[in-house]
Amino acid sequence: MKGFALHFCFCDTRPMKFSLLVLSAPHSRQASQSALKFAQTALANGHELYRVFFYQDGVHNASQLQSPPQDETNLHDEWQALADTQGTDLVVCIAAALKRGILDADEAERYERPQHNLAKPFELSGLGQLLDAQLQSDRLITFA
Amino acid sequence: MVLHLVQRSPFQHSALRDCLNLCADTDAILLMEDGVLGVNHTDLKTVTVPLYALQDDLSARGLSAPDTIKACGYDEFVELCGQYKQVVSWF
Amino acid sequence: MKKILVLQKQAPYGSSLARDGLDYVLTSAAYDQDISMAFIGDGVWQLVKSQQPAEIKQKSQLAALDVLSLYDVEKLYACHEDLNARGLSPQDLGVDVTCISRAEIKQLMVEQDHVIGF
Repeated sequence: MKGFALHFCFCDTRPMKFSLLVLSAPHSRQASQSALKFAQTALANGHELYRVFFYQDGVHNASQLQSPPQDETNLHDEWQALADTQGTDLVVCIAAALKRGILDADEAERYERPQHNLAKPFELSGLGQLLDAQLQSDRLITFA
Repeated sequence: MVLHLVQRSPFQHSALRDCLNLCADTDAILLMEDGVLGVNHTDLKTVTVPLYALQDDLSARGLSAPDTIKACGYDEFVELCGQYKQVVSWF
Repeated sequence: MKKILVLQKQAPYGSSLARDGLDYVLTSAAYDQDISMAFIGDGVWQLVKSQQPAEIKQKSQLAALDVLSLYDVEKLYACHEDLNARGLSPQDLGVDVTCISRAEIKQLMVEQDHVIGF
């Protein structure tokens, strides 16, 4: 097959430290599901998952109020399971979240909103956490 | 040195074309999600870098990869990300 | 300090990617990283002068790009093939950018510690 014989390996066969950037909403685009599968596979193969950062419409992954049909995936619960079993750091861009109505209890109180829909293990934070993920990880993979 | 992840259909979006414009001889391209719809696209006929497509996304869409493209699973996807210095997504 | 290249691939206003990409650049610059920005594909539309997005109740991408120099982000590049394809010339732009070729952008990518696209 063309190309494969010429495949250069700038290999790091040591375990890699990955971070993921998720930009799309669950159910609207495939990105969140692809990111989840990448995360699960990387961890199963002995790699480290430093952080998953949710930006743009990706912040909707963090809503506790997601209620898909029984026979469909609940991305919030899947990410939560990853955090609970693997200690994965799940960070949600606060500016993107607030605009889209994804708030934790503190922000709901601050903005005098009747409800909140984000809680641990998801954490609201700034873009500095995305930069930190990029700088601290071997690779930052974007799922859009 | 760059693994390009193409995440949109070339029939609807410029992602593959924009990727090819900046694809160097030492790079590789992985088609994923709707990007796998481009497995038989004419733009890929003259490409000489290694080409991959995610098997899950091909199967979901009832497609198979031609001989010029290597279908791969997530295990290989993860390993490829380690083999290239940069991973850039096109969407 | 790491060398980070941010690829701006989208036009402003129709989606929020242009603005969100710029916000990431400003964050990275505030943390003293060595940032380059390359406007490619429809990203070159962010550079067009005389934008008046108040008409559509949005904040100006052009005005936001003007802030970059305050953060010492001065390595701004526009792909001249993508400008030409869209009938744009350097005279149409309201931002001080260096127009470079696709080949030069490929070289720029090789020189970075990190590349991220919006």
